[in-house]
Amino acid sequence: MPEAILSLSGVVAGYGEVVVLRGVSLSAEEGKITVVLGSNGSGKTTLMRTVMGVLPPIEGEITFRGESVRGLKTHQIARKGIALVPEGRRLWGDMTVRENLEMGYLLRREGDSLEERLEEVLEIFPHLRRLLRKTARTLSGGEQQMVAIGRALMGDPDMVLLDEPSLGLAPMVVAEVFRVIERMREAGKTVLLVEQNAKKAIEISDYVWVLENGEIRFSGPPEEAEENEKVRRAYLGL
Amino acid sequence: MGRRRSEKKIAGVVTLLVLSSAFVFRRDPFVAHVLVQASLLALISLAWNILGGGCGQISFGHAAFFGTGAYVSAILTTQYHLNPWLGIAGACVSVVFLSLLVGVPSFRLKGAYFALLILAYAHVLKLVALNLEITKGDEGIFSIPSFGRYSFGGMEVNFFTSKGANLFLILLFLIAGLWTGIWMRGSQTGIAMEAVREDEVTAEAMGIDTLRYKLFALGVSAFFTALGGAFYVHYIHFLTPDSAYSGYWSLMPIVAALFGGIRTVTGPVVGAFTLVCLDEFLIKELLPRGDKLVYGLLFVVTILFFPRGILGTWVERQGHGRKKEG
Amino acid sequence: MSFSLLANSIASGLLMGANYALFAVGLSLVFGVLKIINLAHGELLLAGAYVGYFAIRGMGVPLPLALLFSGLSVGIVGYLYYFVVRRIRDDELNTLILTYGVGVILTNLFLLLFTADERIINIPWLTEGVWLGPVQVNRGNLVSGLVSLLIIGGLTFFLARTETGKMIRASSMDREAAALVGVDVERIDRFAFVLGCALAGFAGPLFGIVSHINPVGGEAVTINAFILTVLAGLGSIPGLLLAGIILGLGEAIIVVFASTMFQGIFALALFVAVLFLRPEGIFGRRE
Repeated sequence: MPEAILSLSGVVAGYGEVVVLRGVSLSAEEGKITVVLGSNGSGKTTLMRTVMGVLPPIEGEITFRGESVRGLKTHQIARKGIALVPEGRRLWGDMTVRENLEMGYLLRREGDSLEERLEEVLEIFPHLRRLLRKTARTLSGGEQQMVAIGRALMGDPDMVLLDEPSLGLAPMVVAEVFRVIERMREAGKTVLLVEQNAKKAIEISDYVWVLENGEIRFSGPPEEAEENEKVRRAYLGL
Repeated sequence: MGRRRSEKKIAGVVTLLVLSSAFVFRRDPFVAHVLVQASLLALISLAWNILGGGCGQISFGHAAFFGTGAYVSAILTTQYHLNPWLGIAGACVSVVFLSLLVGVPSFRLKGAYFALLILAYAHVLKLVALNLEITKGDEGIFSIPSFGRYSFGGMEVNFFTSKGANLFLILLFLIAGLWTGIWMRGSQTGIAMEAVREDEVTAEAMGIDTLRYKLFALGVSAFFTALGGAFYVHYIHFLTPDSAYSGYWSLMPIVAALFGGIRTVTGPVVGAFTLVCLDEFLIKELLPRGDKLVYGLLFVVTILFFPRGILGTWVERQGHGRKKEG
Repeated sequence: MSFSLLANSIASGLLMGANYALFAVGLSLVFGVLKIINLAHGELLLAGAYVGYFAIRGMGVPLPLALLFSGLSVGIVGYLYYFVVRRIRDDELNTLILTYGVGVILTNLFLLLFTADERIINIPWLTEGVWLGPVQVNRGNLVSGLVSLLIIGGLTFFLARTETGKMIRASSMDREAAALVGVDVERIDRFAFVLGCALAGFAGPLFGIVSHINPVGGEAVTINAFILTVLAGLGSIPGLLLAGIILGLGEAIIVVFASTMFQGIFALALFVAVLFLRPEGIFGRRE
């Protein structure tokens, strides 16, 4: 069995006195797409923010490549090779698309030059090439999502976390986003995808976790998830 | 609820304490004068805290209200020859109006706009007082009348000669302010103000008209500050732009409130009495030139290490003790 | 009233506007990045002015060196100040009160050390008039105006083009997103805070050339700096220049027709007008 690159055990986290994650244990295998399904308020975004050290966990352990990342600052965790595409994109609205992408390159300190990384990202999102000089806030939602994913890829991370990347996008763009996620796997990256769009997510996944009320309620390979009665009813509408 | 009840008890003790000390020292002009200063600062600090501690709106320019209150009453009594009581009433009304000019533009926005706008007002009003005819410019206004002479069934009260009489008057204002504060805190209005202080966005989401409560707290605060300013001119009898809009009236109410505890109504009163006594009997002796430096340091140390003040910390401990018993 | 008098006031108003922008730039930077209004900003600027005054008058240090020296020493003070602020910066209200307290301490230190006397950095060469075509301006105003332009321009370039500058902009717009691409946001905070203080210190001697150094004058500097920051829009450095010119020009024209009292009223009116009309500033965007 391949080694888990990221693993959480018994993670409790929340905001102030409100506990959102109530002891979550999950893991993601290297080079695979791991999907976490959950409805609104199930704790998906909190999970992502806790992994990245934006919210320090109250209890539990988080390891990346076998090393504990608990207690590290967000930028230190990011520099270990994890990039998060946050919910709502969080681009720097007053910066140009090029500047937004260049900022993503900060995580890359050796290897490819900035221009090489930029070429690679533009090859994945050719549409962005003619938007480079535009200010980020003037882009459409779909374009912004591409910049956000592109920014994460600029640093050539080993692992990419995506927080609801299909939210609020047109079906064509959603298809594009999922195609890009599959390409990440082909390039050998590990993906942790949090989604409400369960059908599409399960289709491309290697492993599925279901988060409800801050607890893991199901885990298994995609075929099992599709068979599971609860998953079918709650997420696939069957 | 324990906290509110213990606050009332403390307010009662404070009322008795200041009244009895006034009674004891009414014939000692020096001590009476120190007590007048302390009571005046206590009143302004209390007023500052109705807005600052009660509603979370920090003012760095209460001198704007104090000085304007002082000028209005001084002008009404010297140039329009009104009776000082009417002067005081005029001062309070005009300053409450002035407070709207500060509050309406700044309270519509969240953030520290109010804190800086009132500071700007304090500066500009001083500049105006320096330049106007009616305020007599930097010469200032002299011979401002006292509250006069009265006799109640053989007992003579002379505000011009007796420091004691003035002391009882300012104490009356202070006690009025104190119990207004206590009453506000326990009322629906006080609870709404507290919600605004804790989290304005949430308060708004709960349907609280935050602008209205902020303006109300500001109005009450301005009213009592003007009362203090007007009292001051009829006690001191002369007024200059420097004394009216002195940084003292912006800084010291905050120091006293922080020192005593901004989460309580009585804290500023206790803080003011402690500070003025310390100042008169200790700091001025030791450091004749840099006494304000001590306040600056005290200020920073309090906000860093005891953000709830001395009395605030004590009342909280009381509350905890009560919980354990119950 | 002659045309040349008005033309001269307009010229000196423009130069003063550039100065105002420089006097505000430190406050604007700190507010933009850390969202802290540094109410001790004016006092830090005065500290720089005193350092410059004694360096120039006492030791005969040339002006450019005095500027650097003031900037450096106030930057060091800012570094210590940052560690005090950092302790409580999560509490916005207490932080605001703290910065006010630091201003009070500095003011009273000035009074204690330098007495209540007003001082002016009086370099004979700088007090002469210079002809710029048809208008005559004071050389001190001209020099400090040009230095202001240089600093504002340099800072704008730094923020727009350098990596650290981009990190500062990114973390002032969205801290969390900046941390996610590996920006050490706390280091950026510290850097911006110290730079903001150093800029106040650097501006100090220029303030001492165009204006009086009064130990209690810090508050007025802070108020003007805040008005310009709001007028320019949060963290907009080029906007400060335009905002400064609006204030400088307005004051210069008013003083031709009316008394200095109306100068003060003008700044306050500008403040109230911005709060009513465009709280997001001239260059700020409505969200």
